[in-house]
Amino acid sequence: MLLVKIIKIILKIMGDYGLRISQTGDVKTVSDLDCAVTSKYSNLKGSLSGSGSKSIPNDTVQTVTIAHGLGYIPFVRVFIDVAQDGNFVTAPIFLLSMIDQQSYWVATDSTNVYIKFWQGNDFGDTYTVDYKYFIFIDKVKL
Amino acid sequence: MGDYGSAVSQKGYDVKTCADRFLIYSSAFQTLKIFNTYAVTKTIPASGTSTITITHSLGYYAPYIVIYNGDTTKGVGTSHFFSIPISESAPPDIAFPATRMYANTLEIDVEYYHGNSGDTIYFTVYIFLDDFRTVAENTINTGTSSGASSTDYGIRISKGGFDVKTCDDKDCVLSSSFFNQIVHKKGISDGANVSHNLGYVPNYLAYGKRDGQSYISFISQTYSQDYYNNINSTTLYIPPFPNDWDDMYYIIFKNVIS
Repeated sequence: MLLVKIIKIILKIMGDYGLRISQTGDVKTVSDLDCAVTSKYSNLKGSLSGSGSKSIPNDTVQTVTIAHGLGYIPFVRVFIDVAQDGNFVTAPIFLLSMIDQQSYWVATDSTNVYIKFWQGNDFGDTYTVDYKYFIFIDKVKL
Repeated sequence: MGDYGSAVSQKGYDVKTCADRFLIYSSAFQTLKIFNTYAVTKTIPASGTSTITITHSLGYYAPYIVIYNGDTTKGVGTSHFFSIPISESAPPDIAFPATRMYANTLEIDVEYYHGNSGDTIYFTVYIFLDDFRTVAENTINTGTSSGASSTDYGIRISKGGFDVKTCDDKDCVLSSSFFNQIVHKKGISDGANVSHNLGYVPNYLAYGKRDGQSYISFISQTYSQDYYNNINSTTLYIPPFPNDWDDMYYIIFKNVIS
């Protein structure tokens, strides 16, 4: 215990303490850019991820609600497989073609994430898309 | 010695054998590091454009994220990633704020139609420390094996000024309770699509630059269906010529989204 206290005191005197791990080069001299991690700079921390599929009737806004339970507004990323071909596009999305328009956007409050879907096409068809999401514990309202 | 370094896995995964994407960090890989966060506001103009300027002084193009947090009339209870919902009824009207990352500043345009004239509009901005120097892809483990341990051990590092034993998770630099943004590869593509060889669909950030411009911009999906930027289990696709970028500044992470 005495040793731990001495180390803590030394660290407090030093001021600049923490963890620093370099990816390449000498950890004592490489730039922060070349560190795998450093306690000088925080990382985005992911807490929840998931996926689903959503049916979107013509010209109606559809919403998928995901509870995050954090009590504040977190950073969220959502990806949509618009063409159902395995290619994911990051939301927000607005697409315009000769036969249709599509919009996908994301709203987040202190309780839920809302993934919103809308499409309007010339034939009245219902579309179906897949979505994936990441919810981080980092706040977006500081 | 050759094979040395350190790594920490997420809770429940064997650090010696788990796939790279289940690591919190490894000295073999870089992670996305937050340089600074900013809460910025602007008065919505009666006409034209007002610009928010953030000085970061990094001296290079850095990845960034812009979050719209609402305005005086709409309130500030809901946030949106790189978008401003003018109307959410069918058909929706979603605006995409123009952003420009210069070597030492970031600009965000506030347009007259983003809300009521005279209202204050609110944004949160994350600027990351990382640059876009090439990091070649590097894969150590691709499996999905787990140590299947439920014991509560691991690593937790707090930000400066916070007690690591008691602080909230959000005040940690990293924690083995959460997944991290580990860089698989990054760089600048001069119009070519980028293969990643992960075999699954990973998370990514992509920014575009046009020849002759001195800034990069987040690639918003505001174009026709032929041109959008997307990713699959093999490739990150840049929107092709002529719409609209000459170079793509990208980071592909090891996190799976599929």
